[in-house]
Amino acid sequence: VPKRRQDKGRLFRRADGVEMREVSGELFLIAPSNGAIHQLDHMASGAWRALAEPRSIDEIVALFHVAFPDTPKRQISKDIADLLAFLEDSCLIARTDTD
Amino acid sequence: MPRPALWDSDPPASPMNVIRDVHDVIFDWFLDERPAHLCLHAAAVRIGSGLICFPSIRKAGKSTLCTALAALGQTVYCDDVLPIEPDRNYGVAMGIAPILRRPLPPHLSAPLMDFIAARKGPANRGWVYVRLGRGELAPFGDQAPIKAFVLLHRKNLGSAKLEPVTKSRMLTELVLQNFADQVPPVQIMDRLLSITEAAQCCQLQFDTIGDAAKLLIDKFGSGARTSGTRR
Repeated sequence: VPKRRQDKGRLFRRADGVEMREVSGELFLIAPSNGAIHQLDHMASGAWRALAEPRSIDEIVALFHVAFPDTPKRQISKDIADLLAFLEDSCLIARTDTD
Repeated sequence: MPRPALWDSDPPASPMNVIRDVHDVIFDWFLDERPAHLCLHAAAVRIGSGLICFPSIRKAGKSTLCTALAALGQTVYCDDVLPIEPDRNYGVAMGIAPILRRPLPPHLSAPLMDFIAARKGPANRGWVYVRLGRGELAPFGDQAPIKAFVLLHRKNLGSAKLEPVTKSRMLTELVLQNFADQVPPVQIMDRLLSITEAAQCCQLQFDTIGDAAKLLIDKFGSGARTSGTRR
């Protein structure tokens, strides 16, 4: 994660006002800022569920490493960083320093 | 109603183009007057007790399928745009005739070709309207419940077959195909979710339009046939 982003907060949390609907086990999120509707894939859904409480990227990577022990941790770290950047750019998650 | 803005920069060159341009913008006029309606890029035909809707998939043959279903006694609601009213989430007919790409597919049966030829409407080199008659095309404003969503998947195989698809996959398709933007996003989601949950969701794999039409009538035509309502 770029240093500039890290400076905004150590933890990630669900953004305020995001609406969630679960259909056939898959998650749909509605961003409050622009009304965009996103369907999350399994990885994004897992991260979103994990963010029921604020977590650091290292915590999320650790959770995924437990779930996918055969995948190199470096690969998981990169995928999670890309995913969190996307979710943050889509106004679905935000940064915080508060646990 | 204002005339289509397109005409300032690109005036229509033929009567066919006039009709198509008016049809293209009539949905904007319609939605301006009815901001609570959703509007799906989809075809819909009333079979039995409700609408079978075909979310738009490019070149899947939904307009030809609608025409084939009309030839078999069903009622076309739309071949391209389906408004959904806000009170009961019923589909609303626009009263617009289906338009087919020319040349017509070579595998169409002789009776269907005759049906189309007998109803040939305005045409140009690339397209032809099918002037459906009473009972074949629902009049503007008719409403009916949505009974099923069917994704069309054309492929070479022996016979047509219907397979279930997940509600989440269909919901994703409907979110993408909705272009009414005056309804708040959360309401769009909840209404589409409600409609999807209540409807059967399938994929139709088919080779020929005739097989597809017969299978749809076999599957969905058993319910009591009801007339569309008007509001």
